Amino acid sequence: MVSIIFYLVRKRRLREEYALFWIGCGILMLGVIWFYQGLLFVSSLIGSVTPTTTLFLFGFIFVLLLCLKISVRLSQLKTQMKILAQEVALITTYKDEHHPPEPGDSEKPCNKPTP
Amino acid sequence: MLIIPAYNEAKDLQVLLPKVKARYPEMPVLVVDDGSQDQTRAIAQAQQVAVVSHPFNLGYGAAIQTGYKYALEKQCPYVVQMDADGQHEVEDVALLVQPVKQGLCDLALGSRFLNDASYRPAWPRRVGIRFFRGITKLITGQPITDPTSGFQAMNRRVLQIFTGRHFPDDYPDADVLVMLNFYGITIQEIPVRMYASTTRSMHHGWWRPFFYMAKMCFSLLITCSLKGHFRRRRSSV
Repeated sequence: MVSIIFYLVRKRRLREEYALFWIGCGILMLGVIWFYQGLLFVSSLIGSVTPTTTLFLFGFIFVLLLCLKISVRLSQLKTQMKILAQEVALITTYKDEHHPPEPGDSEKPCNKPTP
Repeated sequence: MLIIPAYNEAKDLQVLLPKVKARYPEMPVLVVDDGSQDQTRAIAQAQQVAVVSHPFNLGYGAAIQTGYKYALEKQCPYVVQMDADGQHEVEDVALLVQPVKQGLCDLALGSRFLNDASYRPAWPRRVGIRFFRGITKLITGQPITDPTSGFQAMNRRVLQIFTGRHFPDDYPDADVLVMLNFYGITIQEIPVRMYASTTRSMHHGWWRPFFYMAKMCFSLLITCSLKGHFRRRRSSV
């Protein structure tokens, strides 16, 4: 798990902040295995018969909250992207209104899209 | 200013824009190209109207909001919005602007049901319109016959509200009218002619109408929960 996270961060496909979060999750899972008595205690507290049920229950709640958090972040990003795209479109129009593009402008090297 | 949001509507714009230019030569026209892949932008530019092009498709609500932002920046006192697909009658633009210009209302809403010459939508859409008509009346107390109409004229008060963050990106319909009511905006319905759209509806796909109904009900619920928030901001618009 840790090696996958390292690989993704090195390839810039995962940001450090999220990598730290997943490493934290890994440490938490190790902690649960290390302090097995603690898991048994929590199982007796919530009334589950086996510690596996406790693990699945908390795992399920955790994944549910994580999905909610990602949905919130996705919504924020979508709103930001919409505002950004609108601003880009409007600024381009204002610019063209003040300095209309001349024929052949798109052929100039500065206007060529970068590969 | 006349705002026309367009997504892959080059063919329809070729017919609509000359009509608009001939009928209202003094009125500034803005086409919001919502990331079209066809010649929408080129056709609009050829007709010498202002064009704002989104870098990619953002949806009808976002496209029309870009138009409102442009109109607000250009300090236009009145704005009319109409669809590019030939559904709305160019002649009726003047009918919509008139009451807003005279200060009789803040928003003039074109209604196809107040004009006998208009087409009648298919029954699933009629059921949806009737349903939201009932809900809108229940919440606002104001009878609005065509809450899904996209043929509207408005003043700067409405523009300020529509450029805010509570304007939906996808389908601005009954929820927006309820929001305006909470802001204390006066709405007047005007009989207009509407024709069947020549392009595919945004509700194509069997699941779309169900999604639209569910989404709109939820949006109305959220708008109602923000009633106090909108009422407190009445004086700021």
